[in-house]
Amino acid sequence: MAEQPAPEWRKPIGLLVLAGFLMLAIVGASADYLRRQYRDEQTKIHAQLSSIGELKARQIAQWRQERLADAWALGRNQAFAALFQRAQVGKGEPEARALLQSWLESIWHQRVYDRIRLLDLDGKELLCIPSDLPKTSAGVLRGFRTAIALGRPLFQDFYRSEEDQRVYLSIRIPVPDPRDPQRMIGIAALRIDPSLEFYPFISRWPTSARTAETLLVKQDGQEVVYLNQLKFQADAALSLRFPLERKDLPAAMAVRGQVGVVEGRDYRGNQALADVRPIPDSPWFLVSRMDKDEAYEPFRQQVLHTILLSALLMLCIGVTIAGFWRHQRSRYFQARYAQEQELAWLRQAIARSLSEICVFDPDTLRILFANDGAVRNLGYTREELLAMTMTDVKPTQSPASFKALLAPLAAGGRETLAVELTHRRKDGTEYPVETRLQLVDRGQGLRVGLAIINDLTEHHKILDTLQFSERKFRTLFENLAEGVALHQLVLDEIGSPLDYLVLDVNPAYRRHTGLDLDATQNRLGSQLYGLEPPPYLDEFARVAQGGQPYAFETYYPPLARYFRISVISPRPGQFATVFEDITERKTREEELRQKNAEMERFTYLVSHDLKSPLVTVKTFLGYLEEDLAKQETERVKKDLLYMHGATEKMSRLLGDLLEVSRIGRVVNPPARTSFQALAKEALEAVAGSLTLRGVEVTVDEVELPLLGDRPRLVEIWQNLLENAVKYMGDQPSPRIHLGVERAGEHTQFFVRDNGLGIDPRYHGKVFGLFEKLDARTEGTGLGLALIKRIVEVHGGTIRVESEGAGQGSCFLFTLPKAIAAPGEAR
Amino acid sequence: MMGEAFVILLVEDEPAHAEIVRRNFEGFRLANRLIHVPDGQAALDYLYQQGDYSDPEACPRPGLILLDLRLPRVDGLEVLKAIKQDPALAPIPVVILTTSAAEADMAKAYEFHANSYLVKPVDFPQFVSLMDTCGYYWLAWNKYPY
Repeated sequence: MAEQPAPEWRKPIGLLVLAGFLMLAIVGASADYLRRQYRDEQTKIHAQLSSIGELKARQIAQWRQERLADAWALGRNQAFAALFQRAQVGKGEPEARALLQSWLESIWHQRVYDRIRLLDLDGKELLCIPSDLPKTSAGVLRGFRTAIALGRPLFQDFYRSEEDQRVYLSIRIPVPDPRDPQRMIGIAALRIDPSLEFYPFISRWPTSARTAETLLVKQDGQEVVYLNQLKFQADAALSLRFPLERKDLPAAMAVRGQVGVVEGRDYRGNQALADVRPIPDSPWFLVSRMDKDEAYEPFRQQVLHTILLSALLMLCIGVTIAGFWRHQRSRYFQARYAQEQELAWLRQAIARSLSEICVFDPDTLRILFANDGAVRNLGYTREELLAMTMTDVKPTQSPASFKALLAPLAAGGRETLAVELTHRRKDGTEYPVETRLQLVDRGQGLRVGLAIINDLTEHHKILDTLQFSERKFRTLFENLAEGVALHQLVLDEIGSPLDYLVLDVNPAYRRHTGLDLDATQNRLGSQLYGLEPPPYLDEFARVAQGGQPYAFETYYPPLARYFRISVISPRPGQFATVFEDITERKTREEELRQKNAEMERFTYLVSHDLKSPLVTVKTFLGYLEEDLAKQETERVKKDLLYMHGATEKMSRLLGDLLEVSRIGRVVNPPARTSFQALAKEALEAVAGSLTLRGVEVTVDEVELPLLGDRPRLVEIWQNLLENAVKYMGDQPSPRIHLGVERAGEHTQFFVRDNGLGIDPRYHGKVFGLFEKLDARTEGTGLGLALIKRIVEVHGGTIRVESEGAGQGSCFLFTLPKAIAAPGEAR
Repeated sequence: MMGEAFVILLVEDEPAHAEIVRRNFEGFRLANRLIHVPDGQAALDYLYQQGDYSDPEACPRPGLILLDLRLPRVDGLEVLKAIKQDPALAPIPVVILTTSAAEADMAKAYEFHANSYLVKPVDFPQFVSLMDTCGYYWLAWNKYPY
């Protein structure tokens, strides 16, 4: 099972850090931006407020100045004072009254003052505008007296009218006597209705601000009192009061002497920004305030936008990272899925494996996992197996012995262990198994045993078959008559056959080759056979490399044997040779071939040599008829002579042929005899012609026992003697010697004469069938051929020695079979 | 047509067969001589005027050789081979006259440039007829450069 590393699920820490950093940067930048914006905004608002406050204060101060200036202008005016006096004297001059009336009306029409009254020192009303005014109140009158006492115009601050409960201001102007300015003759009272002009003037704000307003306050004992109408509280003038101690109240701060922009809570309790300052030359203080909320509204908008933008940015980053994360996760899970698939396949393979695969606890030997193979082979259900231990199915193992088996694995000495054990099925039957054991790390220092178990039943069967087969073939190999040798071809650097190594040989091989069996193992062919290159390397190499079996017959000179060598290649580079000693067969074949050739020649010669006299007879028969008809007696005689000779020749030929055909075919039972006995018999047979020619015969006096076809053996000497006599020529003292001598390992017989001899050119021919050297001599040419056959039948050879014509000849021959085993009957 | 006798060399080991040939050639009135040698070695000796035939007067060069195959000492085929390998002798027509009808013999004879191959018939009239035809052909019809 290939170890597939699980794809690592890496949390994108770096990414998160990056995102966090980016977000922090955004937040930081935003905050910094906002802080600066806030400062700017604050500065702007403060500047705005203070400039508005300053402007308003100046304007209010100016307004007050104007009013006082009005008063002074009227109070110091001599014309006015004169008119006032004239209107006052007696019943008053109506003209003066009218003048005053129009004068004051011109003032009233300025719409600053709502009421103008002229009073005398007694409080008697001289004139009033508008003319339908109610009677002057007592409170007003009290104020007149103060003003007259002071001798100068008196500005009466905001007060509540008893008449209509509204808030007014008024100016009392003492009117001096035109002739004596120290003496007051009356008073002019100008009432100001602030709601007409002053309040709208105060309330006016140069910018469009919803909550912005200007407050006029003054100290009244320990309280601060509001003097004007308020935007958010009706009838506040003179009625709305707060203790001076209220530290956070801008109005109180103003009264307490603070100047500039302050923050605090206004009369409604709202957070407010205010510019506070005193109005010069007055008891008033001006508070130019607006709700902090509104003041900072644009900033809040900006904050909101910034936050929104930041949030959007962060969202983008978040989305990007989340996307990337998702992508990574999906990749991870895809990889996990693929691996799962792979693992599923592997699990399937393991589960369905034909081998039994068990995982077990190496301590308790409890089976932790068993595949289908185990279930099928053992016959238990999986549940049963999982409740069992490894040794429960191994009848030959106890828990202790099994643990002992595992010991080398546990010690780490070995990686795997293969043992042949026996398994017992649920039904009690047992079967041989090969168990491969292994301890596998399952992490956390825990190890489990892994057992892969193969049923060896089939294997054992095959093994038995193989062993049987092996035995069979080994026996065959050992007992085969043919020599068998297995070789490995040895190649040189370029792959050309160089030599061969003998791997295995069977006993027959040793018998055939005479080589020591042990000495042949793993020896090079060149060493073993002492030949370089080793014998038949080319033929062997062709088979070992080509694979095509090959068989050939060969003569192996070092052993002087013929072999048939079959070469097969059991695997590339190797070859097996099967040696069959076919020397005997080869010899026989050679003999047969020779015999066949001989027979062929025999047939040919017979047909020729028999035909020849036949031609003679028939032709001379024809001549005979002619000669008889012509009565030519001499020619008739001659014709008959030729015919006679031809028939004689045929007769001899047929006799010899019969003789030749009998040799080797018709064999007389072997008989004990001796050289002396045979020589004597042969001499007796040819005694007539020897005597006739006067040949002196000598025989070696050697007693040599012989065993063989006696009549045939006699024929050898007999024929040779006849030949010697026949070709004695005109030798005056003919001699023939029959001898025996040792020639190397063989005993050699010879027949030597001092006759015509044979030209060395014809030495090879003389033993041929129907070979005659002299056409004129009698005989069929079969005599020496006959002798040669007899000699060969006795395993010997025959040859002739002769210096040449007139030098005599000597026939030498061996008869090994007749001598070899003289004590045995053949 | 010829100043001297036309010599025919008959190489034949069988005296009877030699007699047959001699009798047949007797019939021709042409001035010719039939010289008979009994074996292959004798034939070669005659042709090379050596051994028993060393007298040039007695051994004129033959105009035609009738050669048997089965001969003692030196076989007929060997004689043929010797004749045809010798430029001096090669032009002499050699007619094989033998009892052997063996194909191997014929093939060998022609291989050694025999000029003709005749098998002795067992039948008398045929043998006579063959000899007549052969005599007419080689002695009357055939033309020689010498």
